[in-house]
Amino acid sequence: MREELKRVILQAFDSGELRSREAEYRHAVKNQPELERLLNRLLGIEDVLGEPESPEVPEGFAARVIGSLPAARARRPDLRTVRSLVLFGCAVAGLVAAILLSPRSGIDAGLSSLLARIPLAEEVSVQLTFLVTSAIGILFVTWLFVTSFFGIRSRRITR
Amino acid sequence: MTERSDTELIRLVVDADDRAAFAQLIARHQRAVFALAYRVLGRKEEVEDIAQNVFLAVYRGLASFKGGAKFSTWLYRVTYNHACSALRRRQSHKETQLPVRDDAEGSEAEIVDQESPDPEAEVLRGQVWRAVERLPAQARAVIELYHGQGINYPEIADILGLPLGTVKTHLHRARQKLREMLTGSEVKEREHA
Repeated sequence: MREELKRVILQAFDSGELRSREAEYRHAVKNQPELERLLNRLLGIEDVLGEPESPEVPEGFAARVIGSLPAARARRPDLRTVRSLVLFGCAVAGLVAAILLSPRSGIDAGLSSLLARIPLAEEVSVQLTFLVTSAIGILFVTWLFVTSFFGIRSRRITR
Repeated sequence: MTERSDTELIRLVVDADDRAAFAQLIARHQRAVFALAYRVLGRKEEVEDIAQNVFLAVYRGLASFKGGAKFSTWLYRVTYNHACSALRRRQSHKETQLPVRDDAEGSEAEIVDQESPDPEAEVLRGQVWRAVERLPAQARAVIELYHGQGINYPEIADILGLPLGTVKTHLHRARQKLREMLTGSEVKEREHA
Protein backbone atom coordinates (compact mmCIF):
# COMPACT_ATOMS: atom_id res chain seq x y z
CA MET A 1 0.00 0.00 0.00
CA ARG A 2 2.76 2.42 0.98
CA GLU A 3 4.76 1.58 -2.13
CA GLU A 4 1.66 1.98 -4.25
CA LEU A 5 0.97 5.42 -2.78
CA LYS A 6 4.59 6.41 -3.35
CA ARG A 7 4.34 5.26 -6.95
CA VAL A 8 1.16 7.28 -7.49
CA ILE A 9 2.76 10.41 -6.01
CA LEU A 10 5.88 10.06 -8.16
CA GLN A 11 3.82 9.55 -11.32
CA ALA A 12 1.65 12.55 -10.44
CA PHE A 13 4.80 14.66 -10.27
CA ASP A 14 6.04 13.32 -13.59
CA SER A 15 2.76 14.17 -15.30
CA GLY A 16 2.50 17.61 -13.68
CA GLU A 17 -0.60 16.82 -11.64
CA LEU A 18 0.94 16.86 -8.19
CA ARG A 19 0.12 20.47 -7.29
CA SER A 20 -3.49 20.21 -8.42
CA ARG A 21 -4.03 17.17 -6.17
CA GLU A 22 -1.94 18.36 -3.25
CA ALA A 23 -4.76 18.29 -0.69
CA GLU A 24 -5.66 14.74 -1.63
CA TYR A 25 -2.09 13.52 -1.32
CA ARG A 26 -1.46 15.39 1.94
CA HIS A 27 -4.41 13.57 3.43
CA ALA A 28 -3.19 10.24 2.09
CA VAL A 29 0.36 10.58 3.49
CA LYS A 30 -0.73 11.70 6.94
CA ASN A 31 1.24 9.94 9.70
CA GLN A 32 3.72 8.58 7.15
CA PRO A 33 6.79 10.80 7.69
CA GLU A 34 8.83 9.41 4.83
CA LEU A 35 6.05 9.96 2.31
CA GLU A 36 5.33 13.40 3.76
CA ARG A 37 8.95 14.38 3.26
CA LEU A 38 8.87 13.06 -0.29
CA LEU A 39 5.68 14.98 -1.05
CA ASN A 40 7.12 18.19 0.41
CA ARG A 41 10.32 17.81 -1.60
CA LEU A 42 8.44 17.21 -4.83
CA LEU A 43 6.22 20.22 -4.23
CA GLY A 44 9.30 22.27 -3.46
CA ILE A 45 10.80 21.21 -6.79
CA GLU A 46 7.57 22.30 -8.51
CA ASP A 47 7.85 25.71 -6.86
CA VAL A 48 11.43 26.15 -7.99
CA LEU A 49 10.62 25.21 -11.59
CA GLY A 50 7.91 27.85 -11.58
CA GLU A 51 10.36 30.59 -10.54
CA PRO A 52 12.83 30.63 -13.42
CA GLU A 53 16.47 31.37 -12.81
CA SER A 54 17.61 33.88 -15.34
CA PRO A 55 20.40 36.44 -15.59
CA GLU A 56 19.35 40.04 -15.16
CA VAL A 57 19.07 41.99 -18.38
CA PRO A 58 22.03 44.41 -18.31
CA GLU A 59 21.36 48.11 -18.10
CA GLY A 60 21.12 49.73 -21.53
CA PHE A 61 20.69 46.49 -23.44
CA ALA A 62 17.88 47.81 -25.63
CA ALA A 63 19.88 50.95 -26.42
CA ARG A 64 22.88 48.85 -27.47
CA VAL A 65 20.70 46.77 -29.78
CA ILE A 66 19.21 49.90 -31.34
CA GLY A 67 22.70 51.32 -31.73
CA SER A 68 23.85 48.25 -33.63
CA LEU A 69 20.97 48.30 -36.12
CA PRO A 70 21.78 49.12 -39.75
CA ALA A 71 21.81 52.86 -40.51
CA ALA A 72 18.54 52.66 -42.35
CA ARG A 73 16.20 49.92 -43.39
CA ALA A 74 16.67 49.15 -47.11
CA ARG A 75 14.30 51.51 -48.80
CA ARG A 76 12.35 50.00 -51.60
CA PRO A 77 11.70 52.31 -54.57
CA ASP A 78 8.10 53.08 -55.32
CA LEU A 79 6.49 51.86 -58.49
CA ARG A 80 6.63 55.14 -60.34
CA THR A 81 10.34 55.53 -59.71
CA VAL A 82 11.03 51.98 -60.83
CA ARG A 83 9.07 52.41 -64.05
CA SER A 84 10.94 55.57 -64.81
CA LEU A 85 14.25 53.86 -64.13
CA VAL A 86 13.41 50.93 -66.40
CA LEU A 87 12.30 53.19 -69.23
CA PHE A 88 15.32 55.38 -68.82
CA GLY A 89 17.56 52.32 -68.82
CA CYS A 90 15.98 51.05 -72.01
CA ALA A 91 16.41 54.42 -73.63
CA VAL A 92 20.04 54.67 -72.64
CA ALA A 93 20.79 51.13 -73.77
CA GLY A 94 19.07 51.73 -77.06
CA LEU A 95 20.92 54.99 -77.60
CA VAL A 96 24.25 53.43 -76.83
CA ALA A 97 23.55 50.54 -79.18
CA ALA A 98 22.45 52.92 -81.95
CA ILE A 99 25.54 55.04 -81.61
CA LEU A 100 27.87 52.11 -81.63
CA LEU A 101 26.18 50.46 -84.58
CA SER A 102 25.96 53.58 -86.67
CA PRO A 103 28.39 53.45 -89.59
CA ARG A 104 29.04 57.19 -89.33
CA SER A 105 29.80 56.91 -85.69
CA GLY A 106 33.34 57.44 -84.79
CA ILE A 107 32.76 55.28 -81.82
CA ASP A 108 31.55 52.45 -83.99
CA ALA A 109 34.47 52.91 -86.27
CA GLY A 110 36.81 53.01 -83.32
CA LEU A 111 35.30 49.92 -81.81
CA SER A 112 35.26 48.12 -85.13
CA SER A 113 38.84 48.99 -85.83
CA LEU A 114 39.75 47.82 -82.36
CA LEU A 115 38.02 44.56 -82.96
CA ALA A 116 39.44 44.35 -86.44
CA ARG A 117 42.87 44.06 -84.91
CA ILE A 118 41.76 40.77 -83.57
CA PRO A 119 42.59 38.18 -86.18
CA LEU A 120 38.99 37.59 -87.23
CA ALA A 121 37.15 38.01 -90.50
CA GLU A 122 35.59 41.48 -91.04
CA GLU A 123 32.05 40.08 -90.94
CA VAL A 124 32.76 38.40 -87.68
CA SER A 125 34.10 41.59 -86.08
CA VAL A 126 30.98 43.50 -87.14
CA GLN A 127 28.75 40.79 -85.80
CA LEU A 128 30.78 40.70 -82.63
CA THR A 129 30.30 44.45 -82.21
CA PHE A 130 26.60 44.06 -82.61
CA LEU A 131 26.45 41.15 -80.19
CA VAL A 132 28.54 42.87 -77.52
CA THR A 133 26.54 46.10 -77.54
CA SER A 134 23.22 44.26 -77.63
CA ALA A 135 24.27 42.00 -74.78
CA ILE A 136 25.27 44.99 -72.66
CA GLY A 137 21.95 46.65 -73.33
CA ILE A 138 19.93 43.52 -72.60
CA LEU A 139 21.86 42.79 -69.40
CA PHE A 140 21.38 46.34 -68.16
CA VAL A 141 17.65 46.30 -68.78
CA THR A 142 17.29 42.83 -67.30
CA TRP A 143 19.18 43.85 -64.16
CA LEU A 144 16.96 46.89 -63.72
CA PHE A 145 13.84 44.83 -64.21
CA VAL A 146 14.87 42.00 -61.86
CA THR A 147 15.98 44.24 -58.99
CA SER A 148 12.94 46.44 -59.25
CA PHE A 149 10.59 43.45 -59.59
CA PHE A 150 11.81 41.77 -56.42
CA GLY A 151 11.72 45.05 -54.59
CA ILE A 152 8.06 45.59 -55.48
CA ARG A 153 7.15 41.94 -54.84
CA SER A 154 8.48 41.82 -51.28
CA ARG A 155 6.76 45.11 -50.53
CA ARG A 156 3.39 43.64 -51.54
CA ILE A 157 3.83 40.66 -49.22
CA THR A 158 4.26 42.87 -46.18
CA ARG A 159 1.21 44.99 -46.89
CA MET B 1 -2.49 56.11 -22.83
CA THR B 2 -3.01 52.45 -23.71
CA GLU B 3 0.07 50.40 -24.43
CA ARG B 4 0.59 49.54 -28.08
CA SER B 5 0.23 45.90 -29.04
CA ASP B 6 3.07 43.92 -30.60
CA THR B 7 1.28 44.10 -33.96
CA GLU B 8 1.06 47.88 -33.80
CA LEU B 9 4.71 48.22 -32.86
CA ILE B 10 5.76 45.89 -35.68
CA ARG B 11 3.75 47.93 -38.16
CA LEU B 12 5.55 51.09 -37.03
CA VAL B 13 8.95 49.46 -37.43
CA VAL B 14 8.20 48.00 -40.86
CA ASP B 15 6.46 51.06 -42.31
CA ALA B 16 8.41 53.90 -40.76
CA ASP B 17 11.56 52.28 -39.32
CA ASP B 18 10.43 53.58 -35.94
CA ARG B 19 13.40 52.75 -33.68
CA ALA B 20 11.53 53.79 -30.55
CA ALA B 21 8.83 51.24 -31.37
CA PHE B 22 11.46 48.56 -31.82
CA ALA B 23 13.02 49.56 -28.50
CA GLN B 24 9.61 49.02 -26.89
CA LEU B 25 9.42 45.56 -28.42
CA ILE B 26 12.85 44.76 -27.05
CA ALA B 27 12.01 46.04 -23.57
CA ARG B 28 8.82 44.00 -23.53
CA HIS B 29 10.40 40.70 -24.52
CA GLN B 30 14.06 40.90 -23.48
CA ARG B 31 13.61 39.06 -20.18
CA ALA B 32 11.99 36.10 -21.88
CA VAL B 33 14.71 35.99 -24.52
CA PHE B 34 17.43 36.12 -21.89
CA ALA B 35 15.72 33.40 -19.84
CA LEU B 36 15.33 30.98 -22.73
CA ALA B 37 18.82 31.60 -24.10
CA TYR B 38 20.33 31.12 -20.65
CA ARG B 39 18.40 27.92 -20.07
CA VAL B 40 19.61 26.42 -23.36
CA LEU B 41 23.19 27.72 -23.19
CA GLY B 42 23.79 27.47 -19.47
CA ARG B 43 26.35 30.25 -19.50
CA LYS B 44 25.66 33.85 -18.56
CA GLU B 45 28.64 35.12 -20.54
CA GLU B 46 27.14 34.25 -23.93
CA VAL B 47 23.55 35.17 -23.24
CA GLU B 48 23.77 38.89 -23.97
CA ASP B 49 25.50 38.30 -27.32
CA ILE B 50 22.90 35.73 -28.31
CA ALA B 51 20.06 38.01 -27.24
CA GLN B 52 21.51 40.88 -29.26
CA ASN B 53 21.82 38.64 -32.34
CA VAL B 54 18.25 37.48 -31.84
CA PHE B 55 16.87 41.01 -31.86
CA LEU B 56 19.01 41.95 -34.86
CA ALA B 57 17.67 38.93 -36.74
CA VAL B 58 14.15 39.87 -35.69
CA TYR B 59 14.65 43.43 -36.92
CA ARG B 60 15.84 42.18 -40.32
CA GLY B 61 13.05 39.65 -40.58
CA LEU B 62 10.18 41.82 -39.38
CA ALA B 63 9.14 42.75 -42.91
CA SER B 64 8.53 39.10 -43.72
CA PHE B 65 6.74 38.31 -40.44
CA LYS B 66 3.27 37.62 -41.70
CA GLY B 67 1.53 37.89 -38.36
CA GLY B 68 -0.13 34.47 -38.64
CA ALA B 69 1.48 33.36 -35.38
CA LYS B 70 2.02 35.40 -32.24
CA PHE B 71 5.09 37.57 -32.34
CA SER B 72 6.31 36.01 -29.08
CA THR B 73 6.09 32.52 -30.61
CA TRP B 74 8.26 33.60 -33.51
CA LEU B 75 10.66 35.40 -31.16
CA TYR B 76 11.04 32.31 -28.96
CA ARG B 77 11.69 30.21 -32.07
CA VAL B 78 14.44 32.58 -33.25
CA THR B 79 15.92 32.60 -29.75
CA TYR B 80 15.90 28.83 -29.48
CA ASN B 81 17.50 28.44 -32.90
CA HIS B 82 20.23 30.95 -32.14
CA ALA B 83 20.96 29.37 -28.77
CA CYS B 84 21.14 25.89 -30.28
CA SER B 85 23.48 27.14 -33.01
CA ALA B 86 25.74 28.61 -30.36
CA LEU B 87 25.61 25.34 -28.46
CA ARG B 88 26.52 23.36 -31.58
CA ARG B 89 29.42 25.66 -32.26
CA ARG B 90 30.60 25.12 -28.74
CA GLN B 91 30.39 21.39 -28.79
CA SER B 92 30.20 18.77 -31.50
CA HIS B 93 27.00 17.03 -30.39
CA LYS B 94 23.60 18.43 -31.35
CA GLU B 95 21.87 17.45 -28.10
CA THR B 96 24.25 17.78 -25.23
CA GLN B 97 24.34 18.19 -21.52
CA LEU B 98 25.97 21.16 -19.94
CA PRO B 99 29.21 20.78 -17.98
CA VAL B 100 28.37 19.35 -14.60
CA ARG B 101 29.48 21.33 -11.62
CA ASP B 102 31.90 19.67 -9.24
CA ASP B 103 29.61 19.48 -6.22
CA ALA B 104 27.66 16.29 -5.78
CA GLU B 105 24.08 16.31 -6.90
CA GLY B 106 21.60 16.31 -4.07
CA SER B 107 24.29 17.14 -1.55
CA GLU B 108 23.22 19.00 1.52
CA ALA B 109 26.68 20.44 2.00
CA GLU B 110 25.91 23.70 0.26
CA ILE B 111 27.38 27.10 0.76
CA VAL B 112 24.24 28.79 1.86
CA ASP B 113 23.67 32.44 2.36
CA GLN B 114 22.79 32.44 6.05
CA GLU B 115 21.14 35.82 5.67
CA SER B 116 18.73 34.35 3.17
CA PRO B 117 15.19 34.21 4.57
CA ASP B 118 14.93 30.53 3.70
CA PRO B 119 18.34 28.80 3.40
CA GLU B 120 16.81 25.39 2.80
CA ALA B 121 14.80 26.72 -0.12
CA GLU B 122 17.99 28.25 -1.52
CA VAL B 123 19.72 24.87 -1.29
CA LEU B 124 16.86 23.17 -3.10
CA ARG B 125 16.82 25.90 -5.71
CA GLY B 126 20.49 25.36 -6.47
CA GLN B 127 20.01 21.60 -6.65
CA VAL B 128 17.05 21.86 -9.01
CA TRP B 129 18.77 24.15 -11.52
CA ARG B 130 21.95 22.09 -11.44
CA ALA B 131 19.83 19.05 -12.19
CA VAL B 132 18.11 20.91 -15.05
CA GLU B 133 21.55 21.65 -16.51
CA ARG B 134 22.11 17.93 -16.85
CA LEU B 135 19.13 17.55 -19.18
CA PRO B 136 19.48 17.73 -22.98
CA ALA B 137 19.09 21.17 -24.57
CA GLN B 138 15.63 20.49 -25.95
CA ALA B 139 14.37 19.25 -22.59
CA ARG B 140 15.80 22.35 -20.91
CA ALA B 141 14.00 24.52 -23.43
CA VAL B 142 10.71 22.71 -22.78
CA ILE B 143 11.15 23.15 -19.01
CA GLU B 144 11.82 26.87 -19.43
CA LEU B 145 8.97 27.48 -21.84
CA TYR B 146 6.41 25.47 -19.88
CA HIS B 147 7.34 26.25 -16.28
CA GLY B 148 9.29 29.47 -16.63
CA GLN B 149 7.24 31.27 -19.26
CA GLY B 150 3.89 29.53 -18.71
CA ILE B 151 3.48 28.63 -22.38
CA ASN B 152 1.02 25.91 -23.35
CA TYR B 153 1.86 22.71 -25.20
CA PRO B 154 0.64 23.70 -28.68
CA GLU B 155 2.66 26.90 -28.63
CA ILE B 156 5.76 25.08 -27.38
CA ALA B 157 5.30 22.60 -30.21
CA ASP B 158 5.17 25.51 -32.65
CA ILE B 159 8.25 27.15 -31.14
CA LEU B 160 10.38 24.03 -31.18
CA GLY B 161 9.00 22.62 -34.41
CA LEU B 162 7.88 19.40 -32.74
CA PRO B 163 4.66 17.42 -32.73
CA LEU B 164 2.41 18.10 -29.76
CA GLY B 165 2.78 14.56 -28.44
CA THR B 166 6.56 14.84 -28.54
CA VAL B 167 6.47 18.01 -26.46
CA LYS B 168 4.35 16.31 -23.81
CA THR B 169 6.68 13.33 -23.81
CA HIS B 170 9.74 15.56 -23.49
CA LEU B 171 8.24 17.37 -20.52
CA HIS B 172 7.15 14.16 -18.86
CA ARG B 173 10.57 12.58 -19.27
CA ALA B 174 12.34 15.75 -18.14
CA ARG B 175 10.30 15.90 -14.96
CA GLN B 176 10.85 12.20 -14.39
CA LYS B 177 14.60 12.57 -14.78
CA LEU B 178 14.66 15.60 -12.48
CA ARG B 179 12.66 13.72 -9.91
CA GLU B 180 15.02 10.75 -10.03
CA MET B 181 18.07 13.00 -9.69
CA LEU B 182 16.64 15.05 -6.85
CA THR B 183 14.90 12.43 -4.77
CA GLY B 184 16.69 9.24 -5.76
CA SER B 185 13.25 7.74 -6.22
CA GLU B 186 12.42 5.51 -9.07
CA VAL B 187 8.97 4.33 -9.97
CA LYS B 188 8.90 0.63 -9.37
CA GLU B 189 6.90 -1.51 -11.71
CA ARG B 190 3.52 -2.40 -10.28
CA GLU B 191 3.53 -6.04 -9.21
CA HIS B 192 0.91 -8.03 -11.06
CA ALA B 193 -1.28 -10.19 -8.84
